[in-house]
Amino acid sequence: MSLWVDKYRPSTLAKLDYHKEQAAHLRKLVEGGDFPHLLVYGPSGAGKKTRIMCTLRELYGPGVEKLRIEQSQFTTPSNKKLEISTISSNYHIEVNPSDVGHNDRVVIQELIKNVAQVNQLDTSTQKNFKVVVLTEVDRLSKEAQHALRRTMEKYMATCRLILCCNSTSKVIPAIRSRCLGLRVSAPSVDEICQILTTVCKKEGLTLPKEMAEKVAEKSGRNLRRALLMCEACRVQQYPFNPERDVSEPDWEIYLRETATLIAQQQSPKRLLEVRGRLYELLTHCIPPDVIMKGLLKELLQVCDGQMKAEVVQNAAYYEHRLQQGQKAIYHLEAFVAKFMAIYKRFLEEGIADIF
Amino acid sequence: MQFGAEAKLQQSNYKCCPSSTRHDLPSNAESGSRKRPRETGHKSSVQQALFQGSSKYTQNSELWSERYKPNSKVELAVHKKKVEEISEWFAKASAQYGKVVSQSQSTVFHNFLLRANKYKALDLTTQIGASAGRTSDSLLGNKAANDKRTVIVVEEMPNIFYRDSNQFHDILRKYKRCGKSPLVFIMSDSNNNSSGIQKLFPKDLMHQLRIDSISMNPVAPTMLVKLLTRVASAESGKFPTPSASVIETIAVSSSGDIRSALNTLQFACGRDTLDLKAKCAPPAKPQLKKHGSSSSSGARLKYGSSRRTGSGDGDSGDDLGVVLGLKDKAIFLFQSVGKVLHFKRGDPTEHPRVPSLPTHLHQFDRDPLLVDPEEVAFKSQLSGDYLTSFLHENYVEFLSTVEDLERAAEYFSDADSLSALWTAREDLQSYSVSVAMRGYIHSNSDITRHDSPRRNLGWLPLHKSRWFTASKQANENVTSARQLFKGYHWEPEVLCTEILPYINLSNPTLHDPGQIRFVQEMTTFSRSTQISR
Amino acid sequence: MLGMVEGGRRRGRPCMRWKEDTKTVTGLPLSELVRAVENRDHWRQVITTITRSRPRLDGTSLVFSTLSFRFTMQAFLKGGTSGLSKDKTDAASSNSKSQKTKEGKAKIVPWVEKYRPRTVEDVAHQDEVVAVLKKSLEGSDLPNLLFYGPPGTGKTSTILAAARQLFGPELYRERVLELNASDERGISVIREKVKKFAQLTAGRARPDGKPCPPFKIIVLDEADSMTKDAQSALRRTMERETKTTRFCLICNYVSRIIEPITSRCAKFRFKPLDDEILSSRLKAICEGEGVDIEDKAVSAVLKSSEGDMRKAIMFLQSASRLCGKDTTVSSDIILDIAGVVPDEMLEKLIATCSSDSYEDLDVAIREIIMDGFAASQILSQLHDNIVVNESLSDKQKSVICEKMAGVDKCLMDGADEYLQLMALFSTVMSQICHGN
Repeated sequence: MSLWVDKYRPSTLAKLDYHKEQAAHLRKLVEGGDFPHLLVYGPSGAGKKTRIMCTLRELYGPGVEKLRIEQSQFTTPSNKKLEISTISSNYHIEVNPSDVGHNDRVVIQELIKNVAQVNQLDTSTQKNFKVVVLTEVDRLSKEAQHALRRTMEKYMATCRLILCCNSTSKVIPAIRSRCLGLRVSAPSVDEICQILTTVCKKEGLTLPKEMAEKVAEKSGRNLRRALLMCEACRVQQYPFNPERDVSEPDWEIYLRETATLIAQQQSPKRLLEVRGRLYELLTHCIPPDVIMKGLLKELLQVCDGQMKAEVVQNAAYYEHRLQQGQKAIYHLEAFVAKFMAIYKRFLEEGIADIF
Repeated sequence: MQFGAEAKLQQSNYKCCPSSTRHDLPSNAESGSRKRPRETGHKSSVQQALFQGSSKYTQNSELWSERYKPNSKVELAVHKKKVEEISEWFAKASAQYGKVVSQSQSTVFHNFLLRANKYKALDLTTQIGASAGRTSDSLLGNKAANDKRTVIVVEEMPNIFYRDSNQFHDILRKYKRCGKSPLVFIMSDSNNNSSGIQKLFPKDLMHQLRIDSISMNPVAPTMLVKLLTRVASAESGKFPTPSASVIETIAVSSSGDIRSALNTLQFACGRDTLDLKAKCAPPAKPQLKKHGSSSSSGARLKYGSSRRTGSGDGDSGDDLGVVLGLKDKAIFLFQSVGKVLHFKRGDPTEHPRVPSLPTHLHQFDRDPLLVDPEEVAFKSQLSGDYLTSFLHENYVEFLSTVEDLERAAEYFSDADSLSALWTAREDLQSYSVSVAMRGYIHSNSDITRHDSPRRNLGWLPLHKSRWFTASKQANENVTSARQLFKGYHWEPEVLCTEILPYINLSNPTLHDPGQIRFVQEMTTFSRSTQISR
Repeated sequence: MLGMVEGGRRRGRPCMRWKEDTKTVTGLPLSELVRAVENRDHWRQVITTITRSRPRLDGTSLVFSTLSFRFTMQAFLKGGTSGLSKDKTDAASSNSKSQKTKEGKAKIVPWVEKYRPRTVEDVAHQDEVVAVLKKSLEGSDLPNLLFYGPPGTGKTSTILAAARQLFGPELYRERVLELNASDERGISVIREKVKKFAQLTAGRARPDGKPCPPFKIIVLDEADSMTKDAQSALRRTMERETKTTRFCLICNYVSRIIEPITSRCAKFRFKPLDDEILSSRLKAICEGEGVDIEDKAVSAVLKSSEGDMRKAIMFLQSASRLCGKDTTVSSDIILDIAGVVPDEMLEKLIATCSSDSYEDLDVAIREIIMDGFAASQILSQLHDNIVVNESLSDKQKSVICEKMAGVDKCLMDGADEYLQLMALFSTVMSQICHGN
C-alpha cells in the first residue's frame, strides 16, 4: 500500500519544503560531529518523523533507508514475556515503548542497553554511535522516563537518542535538560497548499487553487491529513471539483450527527441514544479524548459567547477526569448531560426574555 | 485402538465426536474447572448414541442438561442463522483441516494430534441428519470412507499455551501441513481472558492458516424460555411444573447459559418445598455462597420486611432467584441494582431522629431512605466497580428531567475518579460505590418524599453493563490494528483516526485480506437510531 | 611497569607490540595520544570510551590501561600540568583535542563538564559554603553536609572540588564515593555498598607526603529521590561511621529529606546565581570555545536559564552546535532551543483576552499550539506576566492564579492541552472583561 503521504515524503534535509532554516541547523549539527540527544516535538502531522529520518540519512547515508521489521522479546523482572515490534536499519532502531503499556520501563532499559553494547565501529560512516528513535515519549510512565534518563547518561558514548513527542509538558525536566529540543511547528496553510500542488503535479493531476486552500484549511494545518484528504478527493472525483465538500472520515461524520442529536433534544431518552453512539465510537478505536474534543467543537457552534466559556470549562474538567479515571463513558456522558442542562437553561432563558 | 483408547481419550477430555458446531472462540482454560460456562450445548446424534449405547443411565441421576441434548438441528436453541453458518462450514470443511490441541503439554498435544490423525473414526453425520441408531461400534475402527468426514474437537487449552503461544502456533502450522481432519476449537469467552484469546489465535495466524471464527452469543432469553418450558413439560410427570414467572426468571438470570439454566430448573423442580414465593416464608438456606461475615444479616438472605431493607420491591423474581440458587453473580447483581433503582422513602414521622437540613439547603431535603445502599453493596458481594457500572447502564431510564441527569451523571463521574488511583483503589472502592448509588438516589427528584407519586414505568428490564465488552472490544481492535499494519509504525491514535478512515476513502491496493476486512469493520458505523442493547 | 618485566615470555603468545596495538585500539597516532594525556579529564574520557566500547576485557584493553599509566608518567615527567587549574592555554589545547580527529574517535567533552570549577575558590557566588569548606581545607574537621537549592547552582561541583583539593588526585578514587540518582540506591545498596565503603580505614597522609584528613567522603547526589526507607537505613550508617566517614547529601528540596538526617548535617542553601556572575562565566566560556555571540543572545540565555548555570551552559553549547562555527549566535536561536514563547506572541494572546470574543481566543490558542509550544511553558510565562500586570486588580490576579494552579495540576496529570488552555484563558478573559 502506498499512500501519497509515504510516496512523496522527502528523504533528505535538502528536500524539505518548509522550515528550511531548521533544516540548515540540523545539517550543521550533523557536520559538527558532536551530535547530542535530540527531543523533537510539535503538533501532529507537522513533520517530526520525516525530519528525524532526514537527519538519520544525513548522519549515515542512504543505507539508513533499508529498513526491516523485527520482533524483539524482553522479560520483565516478574518473568513476564513481552514482545514489541521495532523498525531498524544497520544504523538505527525505532521503537514505540508505549506499545507494551505498563512495562515500558523494561523495554527502554533493555533495548538501549542492547543497542549500545553491540557497537561496531563502522569506519565507513565515521560515526561511532548508533541512534535509537523513541516515539510517543509523552506517553511514557514516569518510571520509564526516569529509567530513560539513567540509560541516556550511561550509554552516551555509543548511543544517541532521538525522542519524538507531541508536547514536552509530559516529559520530565531531567530528560529535557539532557536533550537538544527541536520544535517543529505546524506548516502554514500556504505551505500546505504549495505542497499539495506539487504532489498533484507529480501525480500528473491539476489541483485548482480553491481546492488546495479548502483542503489545507480543513486539515487544521496537519500536513499528513491534508495529503490523505487530497488523495481521497482524487479517488472520489477527478477532475477536482472545488464546489464539492472535502470527504471526511466516517467517524467524524458520525460524531457530528451525535452532536446534532444532543442539540436537538435534551432528555433522558436522548441521552441513552447518545450513549449508544458513544459506545460505538469507542469500539471503533476512537480515543475518548478525541471524542470529547470533537463533540465540543460541534456543540460550540450552537452556543453563544457566554455559554461557550461555561461549556469549555466543563469540557476541560471532564476531559481531565477522563484521563485519570478508568471508565471514559462515565465522564463523556457526564459532559453530555451537563451540556444538555446548560443548553436547556439557555433556551429557557431565551424564551423567558422574549416574554 | 479400541474401547480402551477411546475411553482414555474421553478421559483425557477430548471429545472425539463430530460436533455440529464449530467454535473458534478462545477459552478460559481452567483445566478441570467444571464451572466454565459453555455458551452452547448441542451435541450431535452420535454422541447421543454414545451415551445410549455405552452406559445405562438411570432416570434419576442424570442431569437434564445431558438428557436433553439436542438431537437434530431443529432442537437447537441457538439462533437459526448461526446454525446455518455452522452447517456451511462443515460443507467446506471436508476439504480442509483444522487442528487439535493437546491437553497438558505441547508434546502430548503433538502426539495426540498424530494419534487422532490416524483414526478417521469420527463421523460427520449432520448433513445426513440424525440417526439415533448408530452404535458405538461405528465410531471406532479405522474408516477410510471418503464420504465420512471427521472432525476433531478440542475444548480446553493448557495454560502453557497462554504463556508462550509460539509453541502452539508452531504445532498448528505443522498440523496444517499433514493433518487430515478439520479441527474445531471450542473456547469460552470470559472477561478476564481477552488477551489470552488474542494470544492463541492472533489475526495474522488465523489468516495464514485459514482458520475461520464463528462467535456465538449467549442464548437469547426467549429461546431459553421455550427450551425450559419444553423440558419442564417433558418432565412434568415427576415434578410439578414451575410457573411461567419462575421459568422467566431462570431464563433471564442464567445469562444465556443453557446448561446452567437446565441445571437450575432441575434443581428448582426437585425441591421438596415448592414454595417458590419466598416473600412470606423464611427462605431455606439455598446453595449460595455464604458471606462469611460477622454481620447478622449476612448469612440469611432475607429480603423480607423485618429490616428496612427495601422490601416490597415489587419484583418477586428477585427473591425467587435467591431461593433457586441461580448463578450467584447474576442474582446478586440484578437484585442489588434493582433495589437501588426502585428505592423507596419512609415517612419522616416514623424516623424522628433523622436530622433536618438548614433552610438554605432545603432543595436537598429528602425523606429518609428505606434502602441502605451500603448494605446492598456489601451483600451483593461484587466489586464496587462492577456494581456501579451496572447501575450506570440502567439509571437513565429512571430519571425524568435533564437537571436530574446532570446531577446523577456527575456523581458517576465522581465515583470513577475515586477509583482512579490504583494505590488507593482497595480502600476507596466502597466509597466509590456509595457515591454512585446515593448520588443517583438523591438526584432522582421524582421521589423526594415518601408519598411522591411514582410514575408508571412498567416493568423495566435491567440491562447488562456495556462498558466491559466495549472496552475489551476497543482494546482488541487497537491490538489488531497494530498487528495488521505493523510495518508502518504509525502511532495507534493516528492509525485509527486518520490512516484507516482515509484508506477506506481512497482505496489504495491492500494485499492482505485481513487488512481489507479490518478497514471495513472499523469504518462502518451502525446507523440505527434505536437504542441497541 | 617502569622496570623490566621479570621472567620469560610465555610460548605461543605473540610479542606485544605496544605501538601497534594502541594504534588499532584508539585509532589515534601516538603523538596525538601523548598530547591528549596532558589534559587529565580529556584523557580519562578517551580511555573510558574505548574501554567501554570493547565488550570483553581482552588483552589489548589491559595493555591500554597500563599504557595510560606509562603515558601519564611520561607526561608528568615532561612537566605537563595535571589539569587541576583552569588554565586558558589548557582550555585552548584541549579545545583542539575535542575537535574531530581524522577518524573522529576522540570523545567530545560537554562544556558543563569542561568548565566545572576545579577549586573551591572558583565556585561562584556561594560564600558561606566556600568559607566553611576552606576552613576544612586548612585543617579543621568537616561536618556532614547537606547542600540544597535550585538546580545548576554548583552543589555537586563544590563538593567534588573540595574533595579533590583535600585528597589530591591519587587518593581521590579511594576516599570519595559518588552515588548519583542514576545509580541504584535502594536500601540494599545503602546497606552493602555504602556500608562497606564507610568501613574502610583512612590514613592520615597522602602518598606525596602532604597531610590529608583521616576520613572518607560519600557524596549522595539527588538525595531527595531516595525512598524514605533508604534514607532511614542511611541514617544509621551515618551515625555509626562518623569517625571515618563524612556524608555529603545534595538535593533540591530539603523537605524531602527525613528529619533525622537533616538534624545530623550542616545545611547549606545554594542560592540561584545572579545575572552578572552567569554572564561573566558565559562570556569566558565563549572566549574559550571561540563562540561568537551577540549581547541580546546572552541576555536571552540569562532569562531562560533562571539562575541555573548548567542550563545556561547547555543552551550555549546547543546553540553553537546548531549555528556552526562561523555564525554568530543570535537570541532567536537561544529562545528556540529553550522553547520559550516569544514575548510578542504572549502579549498578543493576553490582548485577545480583552476583546471578550471567544472565537478570537480560540484562534489565538490554536495558533500557539500549532507552533508547538508546550502548555506548561505558556503557563509559566503567563504567570510571570500576570503577577506584575498593572492593569489588573489583586482580586482579578488571585482568581487567575488560582485557576492557573488548577490547570498546572491537570496538565501534569496528562489532560489535553488545548482544553486546559482554553479553560484558563476563558477565565482570564472573563476576569479582564467582567471581573471588576
